Amino acid sequence: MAFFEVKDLTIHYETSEEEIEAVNHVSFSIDEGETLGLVGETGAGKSTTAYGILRILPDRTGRYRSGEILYNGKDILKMEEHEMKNIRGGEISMIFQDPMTALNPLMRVGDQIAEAVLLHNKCSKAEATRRALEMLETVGIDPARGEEFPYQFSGGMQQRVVIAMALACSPKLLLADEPTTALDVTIQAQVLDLMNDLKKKFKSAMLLITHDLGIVAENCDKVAIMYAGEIVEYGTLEHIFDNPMHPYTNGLFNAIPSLDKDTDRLNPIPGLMPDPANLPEGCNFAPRCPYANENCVQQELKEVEQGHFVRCCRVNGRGNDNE
Amino acid sequence: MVKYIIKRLLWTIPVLLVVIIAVFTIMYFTPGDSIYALYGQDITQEQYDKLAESMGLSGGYWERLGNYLWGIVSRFDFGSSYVSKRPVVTMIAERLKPSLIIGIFSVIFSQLIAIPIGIVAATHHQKGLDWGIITGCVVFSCIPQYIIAVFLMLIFCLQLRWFPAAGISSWKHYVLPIVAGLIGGGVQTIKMTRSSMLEVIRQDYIRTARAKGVPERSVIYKHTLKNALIPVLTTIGMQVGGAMGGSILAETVFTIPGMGLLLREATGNLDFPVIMGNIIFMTTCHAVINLLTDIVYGFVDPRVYVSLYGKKREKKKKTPQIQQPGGASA
Amino acid sequence: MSKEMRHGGRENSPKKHKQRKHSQWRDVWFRLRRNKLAMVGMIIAAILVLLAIFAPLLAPYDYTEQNILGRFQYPNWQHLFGTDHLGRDTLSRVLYGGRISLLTSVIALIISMFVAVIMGTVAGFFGGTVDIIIMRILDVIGAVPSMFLAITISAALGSGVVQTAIAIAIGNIGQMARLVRGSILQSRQQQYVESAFATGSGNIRIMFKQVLPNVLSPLIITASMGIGGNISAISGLSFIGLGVQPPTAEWGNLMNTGMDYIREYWPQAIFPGFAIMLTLFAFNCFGDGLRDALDPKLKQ
Repeated sequence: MAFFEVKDLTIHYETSEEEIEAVNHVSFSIDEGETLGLVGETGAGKSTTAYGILRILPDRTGRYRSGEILYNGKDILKMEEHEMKNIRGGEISMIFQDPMTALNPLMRVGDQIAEAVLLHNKCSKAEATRRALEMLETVGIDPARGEEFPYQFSGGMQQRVVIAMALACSPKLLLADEPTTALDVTIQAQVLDLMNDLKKKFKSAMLLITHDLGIVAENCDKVAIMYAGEIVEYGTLEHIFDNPMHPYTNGLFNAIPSLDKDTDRLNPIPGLMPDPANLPEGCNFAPRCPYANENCVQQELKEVEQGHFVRCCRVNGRGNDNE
Repeated sequence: MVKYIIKRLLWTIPVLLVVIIAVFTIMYFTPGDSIYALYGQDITQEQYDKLAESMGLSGGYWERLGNYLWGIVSRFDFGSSYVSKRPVVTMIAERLKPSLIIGIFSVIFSQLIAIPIGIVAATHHQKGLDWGIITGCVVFSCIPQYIIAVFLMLIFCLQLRWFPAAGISSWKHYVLPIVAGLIGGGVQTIKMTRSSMLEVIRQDYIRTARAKGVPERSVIYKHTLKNALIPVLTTIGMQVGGAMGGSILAETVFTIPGMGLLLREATGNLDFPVIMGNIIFMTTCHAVINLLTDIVYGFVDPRVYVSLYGKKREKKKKTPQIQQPGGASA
Repeated sequence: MSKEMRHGGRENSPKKHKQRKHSQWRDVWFRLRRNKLAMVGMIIAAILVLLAIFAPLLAPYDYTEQNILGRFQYPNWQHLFGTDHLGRDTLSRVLYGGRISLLTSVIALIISMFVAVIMGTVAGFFGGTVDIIIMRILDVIGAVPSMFLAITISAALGSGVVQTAIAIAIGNIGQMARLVRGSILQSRQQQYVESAFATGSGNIRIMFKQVLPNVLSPLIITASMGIGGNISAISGLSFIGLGVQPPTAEWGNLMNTGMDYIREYWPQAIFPGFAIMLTLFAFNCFGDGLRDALDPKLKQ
């Protein structure tokens, strides 16, 4: 039974000039201890989904247009502010894309972690600090460095601090928003391994947001492919990797250089993602889709096999014939 | 850190030297003749030469510049006023107190009042209160300090008769000049605090704070404010410079016998030693205030601390040590 | 239809890019027009400039015409702003004063921009020792509080429009020159400038064709913000008896004269003050709006 479920979530940004349709009718669920990979290009609405879950959208522009976010059966969107305080950082916590900017430059890193501990546990300040230093050690940083300021750490080390902060209160769900994108390739694997170890240790589930299918293959149990604010394909790791059905998913796989095949050039998906303030009529992917025709209309997610959902009129009930 | 401060203070010496030489040169080649300005055109050549001798106006450029600089270095002697014949240092010392009181209090009060207003504006962004504060800033930033002073005098001294219009014989005399002085700087600080808060509030680390469950009040007052005040701090130094300039005008309006009025009188009489002493003194003050701002800056922002003093800041209070490594993760 | 759709996603075709570059100034104008405060400022500023230019035609009286019997009149239909201690019409004097205030301000702006662009450009472009020397000169100028600098220079140069303009301009050079230097250093690092060097275009050519246009928009912003500041400084200088002196009418010295009589008669000091405030309001609002329009990233 899924302890965390997002149903029909729609989030728009409202500015004086336009309405940006960042997330449209997104639904997914996460079981305990499970990792769901949320994959898509920059601007597909992945981060907005994560911010939406914690209700930390920009105050002035972020608007929930529809949907519910169920945590243990309770809708986060209907919670009072004091309940939210326990959710944020306590039950659900988040790791951010750019560690260089995610830490308060004027606070010692130990204090920043201790602050999270103090907010969610009834304990003394000294106790919180002790546990913060413990967490630092858990993520592989010398506890003595807890007195240092963020600028004294490298990017990879800062991300470890962010991870320590996120896991300090043993959250049930970890939202990892491209946790390795801003890091060097050599550090990426270390950080991911660390996250996986800790996730197991604290028995947390994880929503792993990334644009890297390689990371998904190694870390995720389920995958949701997101395009222009919509989930276009959703299923288990095997469904997506062995039997991708949506033309966009296929396009993503084709764009990855392969070591097995001797190809001269990559096959990028032509064009750009549509402007989320000005989505096309009908299917969002149609302008870039090699199979698009006059009959392409807006599609609902259709279950093509047990637990495998696709949003495309070509595979609608006909199974997989697009290869 | 002491090393840094000494280095900075030493650096002001060549700057001051160049300022002195530059001002001296300007004064030397000034077409106006101080002797004629003081004693009228119809003195004889003999009288003129005698006066020139006694006022230190004889001799060529290099000789006079050398004498002037040597006087400063050896005896701390900035010359004597042409008019009153008294040493410039004494005259400045006499006039210092009122200017200092007005300057210091107007800067302190303007920060104390303006920073909270700026925070209120930022936390009520795009609401009525913010709009009202911003409108107030737009209006007040269009009124130069001396016009504010004139209005204050007209209303509170001449119409309502709450405060005396001239002199410095009681604390009441200081109220209006301080108010006139704090408005200009205050408006700047409000704008700066507001835009800086709004800038910081969009930063990723504020989102991190929210994501870990920090309540909104703490987000604003603990995480945002400290970061937002850094740029505000750097403008305070600049404001002091502006306040020093503005003080001349305000002192003129309220007839306060301070540094500003001294300079104004001296320019009217082409009393060069007083003008130069005044400029040198003000420039030194300006340099010291900028240095102080930088030192405070270093204490607030650890990154700046390192770049200024070249080493990390140590934490003073002791933090609890955790047990042996390994024991914790078990 | 499917073909059209397929190309719908391609936004960055070279043709489009060119069009965008052309309409950059139109964008600025569009953003400026939506800013009501800036438009109000612009209209008032334009009216003030027109009033200054056509002051001789618009002034109801000769601004030097005395009438001892009708002095110290409070505002009335014959004299909207009243009359001064010699019975001269204050409205006419304020109109003429505006000519001098605006003219001095513009001259000061031109002088400071001219010097600042040269110093900043040379410092930014040649770097090294030249840069260090220029920056040190600016440091020294910046070490003296600007009003004191203006007073000293003004005392030395004597009164008059050009002298006052120079006294004010010198204090502004530092900030502007730093700005120019900064923009040049920034644009020097950009690829197209490097490639211009690589293709062997001479220094001067690169300076004028490639780099200066980039310096333009921050310079326009400072200039539009600077006019108000200059007027404030000039009238302040005249207010304490330096700068532009009577009999030439200037807002600051009109106020100064009025201050002698303020205990008994306020209009003579206050109306020039209103004129200064209105001018500052107009130019500040317009300058702010222009800054937001030219650099929308800066806007909150």
